[in-house]
Amino acid sequence: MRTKNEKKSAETKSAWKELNHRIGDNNVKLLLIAVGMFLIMAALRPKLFLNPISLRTMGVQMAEMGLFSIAMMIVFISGGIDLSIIAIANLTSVLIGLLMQMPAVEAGSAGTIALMIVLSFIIAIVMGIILGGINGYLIARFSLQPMLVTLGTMNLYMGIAIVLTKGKALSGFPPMVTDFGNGTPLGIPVPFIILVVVVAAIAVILNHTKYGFDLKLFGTNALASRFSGIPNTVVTVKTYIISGVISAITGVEMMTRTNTARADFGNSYLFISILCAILGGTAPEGGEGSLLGLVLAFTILQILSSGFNMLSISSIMKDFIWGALLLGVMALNHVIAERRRKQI
Amino acid sequence: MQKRLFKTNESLVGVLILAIIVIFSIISPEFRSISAVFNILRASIVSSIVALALLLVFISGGIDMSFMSVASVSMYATVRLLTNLEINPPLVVVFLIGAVVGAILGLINALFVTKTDMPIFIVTLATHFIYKGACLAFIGVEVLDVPESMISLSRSNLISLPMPDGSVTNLNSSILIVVALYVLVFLILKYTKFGRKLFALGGDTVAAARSGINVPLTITLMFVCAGVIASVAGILNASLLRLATPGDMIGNELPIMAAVILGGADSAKGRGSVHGTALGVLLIAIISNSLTMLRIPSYWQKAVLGLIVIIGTVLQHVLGKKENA
Amino acid sequence: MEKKNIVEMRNIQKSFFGSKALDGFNLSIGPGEVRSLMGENGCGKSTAIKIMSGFYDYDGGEIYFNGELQKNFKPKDSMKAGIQVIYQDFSLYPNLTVAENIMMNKTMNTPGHGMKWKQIKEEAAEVLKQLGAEIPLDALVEDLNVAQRQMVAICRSLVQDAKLIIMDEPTSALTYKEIQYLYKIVKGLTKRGISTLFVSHKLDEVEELSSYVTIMRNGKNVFEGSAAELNREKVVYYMTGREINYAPYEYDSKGKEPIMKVEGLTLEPYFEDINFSLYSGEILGITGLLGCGRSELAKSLFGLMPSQSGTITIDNQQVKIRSVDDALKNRIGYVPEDRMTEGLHMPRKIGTNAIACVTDQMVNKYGLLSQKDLKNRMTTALQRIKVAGLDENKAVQALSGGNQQKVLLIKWLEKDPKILILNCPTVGVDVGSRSDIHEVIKKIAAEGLSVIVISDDISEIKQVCNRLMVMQNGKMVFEADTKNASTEKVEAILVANGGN
Repeated sequence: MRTKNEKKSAETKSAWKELNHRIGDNNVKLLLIAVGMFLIMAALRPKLFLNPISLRTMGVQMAEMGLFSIAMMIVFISGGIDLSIIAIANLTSVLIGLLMQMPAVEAGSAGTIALMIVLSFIIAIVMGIILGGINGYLIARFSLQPMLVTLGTMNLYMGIAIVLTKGKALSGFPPMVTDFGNGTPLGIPVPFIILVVVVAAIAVILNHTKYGFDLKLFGTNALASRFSGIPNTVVTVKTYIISGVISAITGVEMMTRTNTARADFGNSYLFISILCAILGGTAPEGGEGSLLGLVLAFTILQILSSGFNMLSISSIMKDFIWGALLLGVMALNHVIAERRRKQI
Repeated sequence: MQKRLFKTNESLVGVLILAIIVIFSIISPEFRSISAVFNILRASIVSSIVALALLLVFISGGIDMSFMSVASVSMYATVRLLTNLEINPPLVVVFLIGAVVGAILGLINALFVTKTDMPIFIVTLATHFIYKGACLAFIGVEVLDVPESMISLSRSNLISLPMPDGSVTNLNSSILIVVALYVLVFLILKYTKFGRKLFALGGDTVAAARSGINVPLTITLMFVCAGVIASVAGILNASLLRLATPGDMIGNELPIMAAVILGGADSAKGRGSVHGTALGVLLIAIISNSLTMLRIPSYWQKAVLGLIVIIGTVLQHVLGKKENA
Repeated sequence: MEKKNIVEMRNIQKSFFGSKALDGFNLSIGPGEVRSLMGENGCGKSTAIKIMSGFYDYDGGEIYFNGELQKNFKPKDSMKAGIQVIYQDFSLYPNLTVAENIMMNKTMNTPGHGMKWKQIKEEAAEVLKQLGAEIPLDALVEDLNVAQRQMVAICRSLVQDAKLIIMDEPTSALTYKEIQYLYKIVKGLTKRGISTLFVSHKLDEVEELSSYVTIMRNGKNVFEGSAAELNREKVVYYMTGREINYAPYEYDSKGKEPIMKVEGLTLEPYFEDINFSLYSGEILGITGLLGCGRSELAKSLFGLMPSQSGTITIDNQQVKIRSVDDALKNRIGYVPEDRMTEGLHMPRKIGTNAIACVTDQMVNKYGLLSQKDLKNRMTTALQRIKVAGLDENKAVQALSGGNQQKVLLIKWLEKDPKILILNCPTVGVDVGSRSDIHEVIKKIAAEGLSVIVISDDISEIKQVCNRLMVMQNGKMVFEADTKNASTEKVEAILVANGGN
């Protein structure tokens, strides 16, 4: 009996170790938190939380948070930061919004509008390449601090969006547009599908391309990368382009979902994306980042955020809690690192 | 020495300011008036002070994202306290209470920076949201009237000049506070060991520790100073507007950052100067003022500002490069 | 009156996480003495220095400063006793002026809160004058060269009433002239009664200063005596505990076509009119003093610093090397001098580092990399050089310097170059790994790879190369078969015309 138990505990222990090894300590921690949060919420507000409508809403809200976080994470891995992600999203959505409001489109047939929706994704990709490319080019060509450059472009892009809209919100797009953004094929909301596609694409890019391999090396030590024949400039520009494209696509998603395009929409996502990246174990100094960790991180934040709503905690309070959470995570990581150092 | 002069951003900004003044004076006669000068100075009173708070952190090698919320929260907390107590103390006491709040917020920043080894940028980004959120959630969301002493500050003018058209153009006396703070910070940076320690930290943290500098203590003191300076800016802002709005000023970080960066401060190299910052603030004020005067719609401001930051950063790099070659 | 020793360490014990760093180490230094401390990396030299300067505490033994037993002393106490360390990075503030750098530590450790600029400038000027160094007081340290920075660091310790200045490998980044100047300074200090502890691994430096030598191995003293008692073989023996034999590399270029021909290669102001040929399967050594242009030449051949004029011919085809990409296309590999910053991605896995240059070969027809292929490639790559306990999943930074260098070599061998340039391949490598690396170099050359070894260590060149060339002031001044060039002769050429 006893030996059996011991054996069993040894087995679970090694399975535990295997899990830790497979997905990393941090991710195991995050997974436990996510599951725990989910169970707590399910227990506290079972009717509110566990119904398809609220799960769908979570899927929609998670999409924007998740997409921006991925855009931030990939830049973090390169050792940089991109403060212009939200501005890229809004400039893109404003531009597409203006196109959608052209008389020819507004009066167009269903076919024209469907074409416009497809076209808007193409425009988003082009915008992402241009705007992200400007970031990457400035940073790589003049070896400037990413933070300063993207601080500048954030304002430039946002400023252009303000100029285009004269500071007003664009809205009242053809109903088909919102039908698309709020559609739920097979019961799955469109924004969530976009998120899944982007996560899958980034997973492939990070783990199965030469660029992904080079990106992590570049983020670790740019000089050694140069001496290894890794094209640093190309890697930098590609990184900001990927971040820009994801942001621009998120812009389309936001516009089709909310039926509005505004120069200053969703500014709080900037901070949340940094929070997600750090919570997910991406090192701000570069080189390291786990997509799984990031996905877990924004899932946790979404469960928290929905939880706040269900417990009727005000949105003002949310700012406070997000900030406290980031500080708390950093303090915790520090304590763990200290303890580990002492144990060795 | 001559070479150095043109390597610095300070001189670049100085030349830029001169060029803009000359060009705009030619284009628009309004620009040459004394009231235009007063307008620009008035517009830079508050921003020039927050810029000083940011400058200290830049010199020590960090980027502070929380300075505006520190300014805003210290202001609002102070006015809220005075309103709740229903007292109307002299101006000095108002500033003192604000300073205490600013110092506490600075201490919280310092605590997390020194205890967690995380970059100042990230820690202050978090505290920025905490301060803002805590202020709105726990202190209040109403717009408050400010005490009489603060209103009287807004009414006291250092210079009042009658204009030919019969109106009067004024320069508020709080400009004296600006001058005093600039002199004070200049003296601290140049003539105290604390000031030199900030430069040492910005230059090389490891070397600073080897020199026997107490690094955590210096960082703490720096954040306290920055918090106090920011609180002065917050209270001045509310005084001049004669209203205490929660969350006021927050969201306007960029022009200040742009001013400090254009003024030659470089957090990566531990560089920065009081006169550079003053010039940077003036440049930004002149540009936004000229846009107004040239009747360019205000929604252009953000784009122009972004462009200036980008050009400034690139120019800094290109000029530095030429000197090295 | 008996002179008291400035510092005396008796039977010092120190362990880190259970492994002994110092095991009964003794050292005493009297006033006006020049002492050299020699030993391999990891022998405990830096631990001993950090204990002396109060940054580490120790587990056992006794330390005396000026004859007084010390207990629980802090860096401040050590400085008060007159012990000053000049680290390899000098610990200066690039954003501050020379004067302020010189006076920083003193100012920070005197009471008061104000800065007395006049006094600071006067005192800094005074100490610079004492050393005869001409450095403008108002210059920023970031604008100084390495030798000037070192002077500033020495001045900084002097103003703090140094009695003992510890210099950690002070010559490693200096040119010949600068080294001569440093010797002069050190001798001048001795006359003023200030002692120097010179951490070095170069015997000629130790001889030049005609000092008393302490050699360490595994945290213990293994030799104490004057430099005159030592020769190269003995130093190696004491430092490693074993004698190392080597056979020079045999090579005959008769009847062979050169694989690479360099003609008139020039890059002002680093080197000009460089001509040489490299034959397949040969090991060509290039030596010269620091600043002679040897590293720049290597970087130029690798496309990092493209040349201004001259031609490079590879396999009878004239080629242009304007970028690293061009060099790689012509199958030229380059193992840089500084493996920590230029060579390896230290926190990354050994396996990842080993295949860092070859992922482009593994992209499949869909433009993707398979994790399985990567893994397999890592395993096969690491079999190129047998290293005990080399786990591909470990971070490179966990390895010793020697093993790191082997990983760096693997990384480039994996790229399958025709020409491999090695810049100082055994800097900071223990003597055991050093001979391993030399064997590997000889083996790959024997298999047909052409190798250029750049090194300031003539014995290294003599051990691995069949032919050697000497650079001076950016020009090639000497070329010979290694067999026909004695170490003394090469040394004489190196310092002829006063070096650089």
